[in-house]
Parts: sequence; structure tokens; C-alpha cells
Amino acid sequence: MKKCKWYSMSHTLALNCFAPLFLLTLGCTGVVGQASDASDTGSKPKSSASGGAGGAATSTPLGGQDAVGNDLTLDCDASAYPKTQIWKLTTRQLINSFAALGVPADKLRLPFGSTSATPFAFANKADSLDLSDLVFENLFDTATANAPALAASWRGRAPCLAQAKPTTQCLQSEIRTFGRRALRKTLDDAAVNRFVDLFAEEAAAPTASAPLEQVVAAMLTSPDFLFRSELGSTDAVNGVVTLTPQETASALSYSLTDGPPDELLTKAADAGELATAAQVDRQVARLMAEPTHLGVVERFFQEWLGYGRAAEISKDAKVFPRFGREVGASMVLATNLLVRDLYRKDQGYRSFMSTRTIFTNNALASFLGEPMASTDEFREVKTNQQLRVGLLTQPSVMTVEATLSDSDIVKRGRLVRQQIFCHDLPAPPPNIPPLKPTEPGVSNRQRIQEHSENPACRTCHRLMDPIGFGFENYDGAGRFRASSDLIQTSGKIEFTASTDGDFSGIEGLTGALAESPDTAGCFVRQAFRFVYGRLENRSDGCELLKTSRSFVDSQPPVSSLFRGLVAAEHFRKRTAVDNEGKRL
Amino acid sequence: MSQHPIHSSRRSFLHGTARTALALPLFASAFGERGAGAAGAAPKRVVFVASVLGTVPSRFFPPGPDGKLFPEDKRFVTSDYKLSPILLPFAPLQKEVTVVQNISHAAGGGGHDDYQQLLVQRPLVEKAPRVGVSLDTLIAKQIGSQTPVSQLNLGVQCLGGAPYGCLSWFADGNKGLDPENEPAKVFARLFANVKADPTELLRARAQRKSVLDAALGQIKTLSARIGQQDRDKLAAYADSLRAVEKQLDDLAAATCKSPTIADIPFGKPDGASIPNAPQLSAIASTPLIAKTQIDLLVQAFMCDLTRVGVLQIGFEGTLIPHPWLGIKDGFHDLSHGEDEASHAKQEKISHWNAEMVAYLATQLAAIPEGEGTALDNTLIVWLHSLTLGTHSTSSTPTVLIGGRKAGFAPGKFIHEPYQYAPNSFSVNRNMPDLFVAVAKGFGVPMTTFGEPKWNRQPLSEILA
Repeated sequence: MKKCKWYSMSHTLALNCFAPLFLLTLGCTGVVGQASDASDTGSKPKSSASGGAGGAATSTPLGGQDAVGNDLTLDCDASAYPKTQIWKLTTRQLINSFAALGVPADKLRLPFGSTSATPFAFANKADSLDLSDLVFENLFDTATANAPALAASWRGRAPCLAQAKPTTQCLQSEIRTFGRRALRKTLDDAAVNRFVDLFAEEAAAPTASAPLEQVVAAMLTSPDFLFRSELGSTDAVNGVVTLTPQETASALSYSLTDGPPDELLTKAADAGELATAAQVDRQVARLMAEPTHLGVVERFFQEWLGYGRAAEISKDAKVFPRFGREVGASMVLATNLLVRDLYRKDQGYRSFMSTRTIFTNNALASFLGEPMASTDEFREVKTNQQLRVGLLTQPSVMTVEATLSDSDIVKRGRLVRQQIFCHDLPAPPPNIPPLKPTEPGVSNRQRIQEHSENPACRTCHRLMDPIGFGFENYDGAGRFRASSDLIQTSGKIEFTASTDGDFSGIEGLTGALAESPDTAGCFVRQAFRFVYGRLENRSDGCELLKTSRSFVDSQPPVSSLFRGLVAAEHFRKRTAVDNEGKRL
Repeated sequence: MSQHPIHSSRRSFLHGTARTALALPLFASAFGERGAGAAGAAPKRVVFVASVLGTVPSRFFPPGPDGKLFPEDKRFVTSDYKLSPILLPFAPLQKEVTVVQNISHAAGGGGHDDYQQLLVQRPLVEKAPRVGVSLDTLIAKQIGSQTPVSQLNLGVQCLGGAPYGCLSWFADGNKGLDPENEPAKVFARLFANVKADPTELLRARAQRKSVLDAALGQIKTLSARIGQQDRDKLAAYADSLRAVEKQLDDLAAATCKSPTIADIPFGKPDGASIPNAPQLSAIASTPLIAKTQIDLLVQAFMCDLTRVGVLQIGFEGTLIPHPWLGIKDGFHDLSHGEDEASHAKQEKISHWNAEMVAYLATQLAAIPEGEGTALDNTLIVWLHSLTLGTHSTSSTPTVLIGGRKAGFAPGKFIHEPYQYAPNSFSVNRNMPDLFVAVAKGFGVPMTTFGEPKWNRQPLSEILA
């Protein structure tokens, strides 16, 4: 096993490299019956012993490959940057890009990509699997169907186009202008002339000629519209390129607002005012103050914790007769309001994980049996008890991580293990015999007792179930219920770098998670994955190290984490690759 | 409805006899034929139907003499078997129905993600690029290249792309084919260009071609600057543009009689609404969507616009309830229910899925073709990605219908022994064994399909 280069430099760092070792040792492979329990002696993985304080737990294997075949060994190599790439816009980004050109959402032919939510995946994954014929057909149809209206308004803006035979000069200049806006870059002469030729060819047609419409349709069907380009300038220095100002503008804008660059950003790019770190940071700060940015933030939290599903699921009507779509949707709204509020108030990670503030209204409070908000509008309420402690205890999160009729200890534990600690777990193995049905007088905890007795179950479930116990105060619809003989909330965190220990109840659990450098480090990774649209790889070592260290140690506002990630040089520099994908 | 004198005798035949109440399609279309295709031998066709979230096995597989499932160690093939309650909708067609028990969707890591591997049968490795080509696209390459649409992928409330949405994969990597969920769009794609004025048609084609050529030009410029992986993305993009071009041209050239837009109950392809039309988005519309999609598929077959169909009923992990069956619970969560009441609901849903497959089969069986019926020339392969909602994929419910004149021998109950073992997929027969046999029937020779170690012995029992 290789060692992370920075490993000896830092000991509080949660960004570390040894989880795969212990997961392998543990035998948690997702195959029932083949798991060895040989390691089940209570001994901790060797990694942290050999590495001093803080040396376990990351989601990323040392060595091996990520989803796109990158070597995952994380090094801090100061000259390493992400590879150049093109990046397909997400459905939301495409909708916003069409809107910026004046095409309203109801004139689009959707879907423009995958509409099914992959649990816990960020929608803007650069290698997303939604390149299908259907998507392309829809884009093509959208482009051709909206071309007449766009061409008409274009002619309205440009008198020279409204003439019977526009001059070549007029066409070139207009195509340059429209192309700059639609394709977010300055077209080169070859591209301009391609569109001019298209115009001329169509204008010569004997009947039903619609040359400008053709140009619009061709532009919106072109890869420059559908993809974000991150190829950088053509002059690589030591194999490293910087994104062009126009690419930088798109990168900032799509990352922070899910939309194309606005007028100010476009002007800044064309005026050469995105060259220095200070200039970039100024634009980043400006974009983060836009209302659209909070939508992106909301998406991050929703996709990170997967709580959006609360608006779609159903529950057993016998157990939760009042649960329905409206209740679920208001749970999602309540959590969205909370994350927006905390973010806007520059709260830090700890605060997100342990806040006693909730947003609620009469209907939701009445469903949850909580103190009334005494207003039909959602408003901020401080809870003084252990009722709600941090984002993980939000009704939306607890409702999703539950069964039809009750809490789901395993799913809740998995949520923490996977999303809060960044420890990847294998999928459930096939052909698991079902658990015994719920019986009166038997607690959920007893029901999953077999997980800790049967060695085949235990190897994986010990990573989840003892954490999930901590949430037993929340029933299957996120309502608080008091501890009792059947509701016992003590549990244990194991196999982490520096968060191991017993806890008692939800305050104990969320307290441990909120204070943990492991989970703060994982949060940085999650933010990184969101901003970069991919898993971290070896080229990101330095950037992650630097970001994690300051984030974990000084606990700045979450907003400054995003600001730092997007304003970083790492975000704008690329390792140039040649046609074979090799570094130049 | 368009009238066409040449086919009036067929139409009256269809109305007069074979269209029973169950089989009566939503639009009484005059099944036309594509000019050239009609004269020669009837084409071979295949439809893959995928249902999700399993079934209640004890009510799905044919019961033994004691009313319970046959013992798991038995191997036998018989044409004398009793249909289970869930499969009763197939009763009038039982001679054409083969039920296979105890072969498995081996890709199963047990998660819903494995749905996308159902027709691929390769393991899905988390965070690694997906690999494998699906059976439908391989067969389409063999029997579908002469038709305007090489294959037609239809969805019923299947609102997903990867990973829970796509079944059809053309190559390792990213290129999948999503199902189309909206009947009006299926209609537009297949039939909107048929019968257009020839001059207009020529213009429209020229315009489309120049737009697509310009986009292809941009792709070429961009491709010169990027790495292989990104170039693959652009190549997929270019392929799609060319496919759009070819399809629209070929469809426009088709001479088949088509249904009219008034026959599609959900609104017009451009999004315009039809007064009082059912809402496509309404969950209660699901049965109507399913039947309309099936009608369109049958129509496309009869016009020889395509020979390969994929019908996805829901997507794996779907949350929709089934209010038309009186079931308000979301399907995914319901599928995890293990009490009697949940089982009863799961059975109802599975039974409804069977009704939809039977609706497809019955329609095809009602259409005379050559010496037999369209069902004789069409093999329907009905698959499930899970056995139960509890993530079991051993003995996934598998039913084959039709194909009697396409090289298959339907009308059997094939009971495989099933042995419980940690490595059960290396011991028992799996989907690849079925797929090798199906592929052989369509003239696509192969010795193994998908993951080699999941191949035991081809299921040649299904072949004539």
C-alpha cells in the first residue's frame, strides 16, 4: 500500500487514504456467504496504528481507477491539474441556457438528460450516462421548433438581416454577435463562414426558404451549445493550460448558478478581466449573491443527503394515515429553507450538523406533532429540546431513510457511513432472506439482531446498524418519539479515523458527527465532487489537502468553502491532453 | 381514422372476429403494410418487455399438483401445465406461452441499479465505466437494419435515464437508448412524416440535412482538440444526429397507412392539448399509456417500420402507486412489504403487468400474417430484474410468448433445478443461457452471452 505523500505532514486531516484497507480487511464485499469474519476480533485496522493519529477512512481507494479510468492514488503534486474536458450541460443548465436566449421552458422538448435521480449522485456529473438518441432528438427538435421565433427576434434587433438579401458583411458580423451569446464563445472565422454558407445555401432554395432559421437551428444543435468546453488556450506551458476567459466565465457561471454567464460576466471575459485571482474572486462573490446561486446550494444539499425523495414516496396508510404528497413536499421545502437560511447566514459545517433551528408551518408542525408554528407560512423556529438536532434529523431525511411503516436503522446508518464519512459500501448482496416481519413488542433493534450475530451479515452491517440506532427517536415519517423499552438510541461508531466511540441518543450521535474532522473532511470532498462534477482523483491531491486543512481546522462558513473551490487556480487550470488522452 | 380500401377486408376481419373485448385496441387502425415488405416472407420480430420490482413467486409460477410450487431440485419440461393466478390473462394463448422457472438475472448485485444490466448480463462495477452490449441491439443489428427504425424503445411511466432507466446499450461506455414515454412523441417520430406532400418533404429533408451537416462540422472541429474519452462523447452525439437524419428520411419514404393524431389520447406532439384528453402526467392514465404504446408498437410492426421493440413498464425502484388497481402505496416501498396484505397488492400489480403483455400478444395473434398470425412471427420475451422487492434476483420471472414461425417452440413450462449456494450464479442457469438461445433463433450465433462465468448451458428447449 502506498502512502499519501502528505500523510506525515498532517495528523488531524480527515483526508486520508486507508479506508479501502480496512474495508477489505473487514470483508465487507457485498457477497453473502463469502465474507470472511477472520478480522472480526475487535482489532482496529492497522492503518491508524501505523499512521499515528488520524489515518483511516476515505471513500477513495488508494490505487485502482475511478469511473473514468483515472488512477486514484492521491498525491500532492503541485503541478497536477484536472484534465481538459468537455462537459455536457445538465437538464437544468440547458433549460436555463435556452431561457437566456428567450426560449421559455414550455417550448422545450424534454428530457434533455436523465430524469431519474441516482441516489446520492450529483446531477452535474461530467461523465453522466445520459447521452442517448432520445436526448439528442429532443435537443434537435427543440432547436428546430424554436428557430423561427428566435430568428424573428434576431431580425428585429438587426435591420441589416431584415433586408431581402443581407450582405456577407452583415451576416458575418451578426453571426458573430449571436454566436457569442448562444454558444458562449467568440466564433472563429471558419465557424462564422460555415454558418454564412449555410445561410447562402438555404437562401438559394427555390421555395420555403428560411435561411436565418437554419442558422439558429444549426447553432443550437451544435456541440458548442450542448457542451461546456474546458480545453483552455492552445499555448500549453509545461503541459498546463489555463481556461480561456470565456471558458472561465462559463465554468464560474454554470457551477455557481446552473446557468450561462450573465451580461456582466460576459463583458468581464471579453475585456480580459478574468485573468487575475482577484478578478475571478470578485465575479465569484458577485455570482454567489445572485438568487440563482441559492438554488444550486439547495441542489447540493438535496443531492448530498437525498432528501428530495420525501416529496415522492408514500407510506403505509394504516400507520401514517395523514402522510401524503403534500406533507412530503412540505418536508422537503422545510429542509430547503433551512439550508438556504444557514448558508445565507454564513454558517459553518458544525452549525449545519447541529442546528436547533427548523423551518415549519402549521400543517407540517401539526403532522409532526410538534409545537405549532402558529402561521400558515413557513417560518424559523428554535427548538430547545433534543427534538431536532442538525440536518440529519430533518423530517425529510428521516422520512426517506425509513421503511413504509417504521424507521430503517440500516438505511440511516448507511446514509451516515456513505454520505457523511465518505466510506463507500457495496450494494446489498442478492438473495438476502427477508427479515422477520414486525411484531408487536419486538423493537426494530431486536429485529435486525441477526445482523450482528450472523458473521455473513456482520462484516458490513457493523458499519451501518450501530450508527443507525442513534436515530431511533424518529419514526418512519420523521416524527419524534420518546425513548422507551422499544426505542433505544445508544450506539457506536467504529472504523473511522478519529470519530470512534460509543454514543447515547441523537445528541450524542450528531454531536460526534458535527465535531468530527473525518466528517468535515468528507464534506469537503462532497463539495469538491459537486463543483467538479466528478470524483476526486490523483491530480486533485494538493487542492483537496489545502482546502480540507483550512476547512477542518478553522471551520469557516460553508459559503466560503464553495467560494474557495470555485475561485481556486485549480479550477481554472488544466493538464492539456492530446488526441490519445495523453498529457501534452 | 384514415380509410384505405385495399385493407378493408382485413379491417372487417379484425373487427368481426379476433378483437375480443380484451384485445380491442384504442384506435381501430387500418393496419397497413409497407409496400415492399408485404410481398416477401413475413419478417421475424422480437419484443422485450421488462417489469420491475418483482412479483409474488408462489402466485406467478405454475403450481404443482398440491397447489404449491414444484420442488426446487426438479428439472423437467412439459407442455401440460397449469397457469398460475398471475398468468391467467394468457389463458386463451397458453399454447403460445412458455414459462421458465429458476433461471436468474445474474447481474444481480441485488440493487435496483442492476436493472440497466438486464439485457446486458455483465456485472455492474460501482464507479467504473459500464460495460456490455444489450441483446436487443445485437438482434436489431441482425434483423432491424433494413427498417427505418432499428428498434423502438417505449416506456410506461419510465421516467428515467441511467441508471434505472436504460435497458438498451450499444457498446461499452455511455451510449444507451432511453425509452420514449409519450405516445404522441412516438407517433410523431413514426408517422408524422408519412404522406407529406412530396415537394414539401424534399425541402424539409434538405433543410434538416444542412442543419445536421453544420453541427457535424462543428463536431469535427472540436474533436480535433480533445482526448479520446471526450471524443467518444462527441462521436455518440454525431451518431445520434445521423440516426435522426436517416430515420426521418426513411420514415418519410414509408408508404404505410398510419393512425392519425386524433387517435393518440394524450395531446399533440407539439405539446398542444386536446380538449378533455386524459393527462399524460396523471398516474391514473398509466393503463391507457401502456395500451397506447403497445398499439403504436403493433402498428409500427405492421408497417414494418421496425422489427425490434423494447417495452419498459415502470423503472426499477419506481415510486408510483397503482390507483387503478385500488393501490395507493408507492410501488417501491410496497415491494418491500412482506405481510399478507402487501403480497396481495404485489400480486395485483404483477397480474396487471401480465394483462399488458397479454394485450400485446393478443393483438399480434389477431393479425393474420402469412400462413399464421403476427404473433407466430414475433417472439415476446417478458423479463423481470428482480424476483421480489427484497432484492432477490434468483429465479427472476421469465415468460416467452409466440415466435412459432420464427424458430421457437412455445407452449412449455421449463422448470430448472435451483441450488442455493453462495456463488449461485455459477451453479444454476441464468439469463445468458436464455439469451444465447434467443439470439440463435434470430440468426445471431454466439456460444456465450455477457459474462462468461454466468453461462451454463444454452436454453435450447425454447427453440424449434
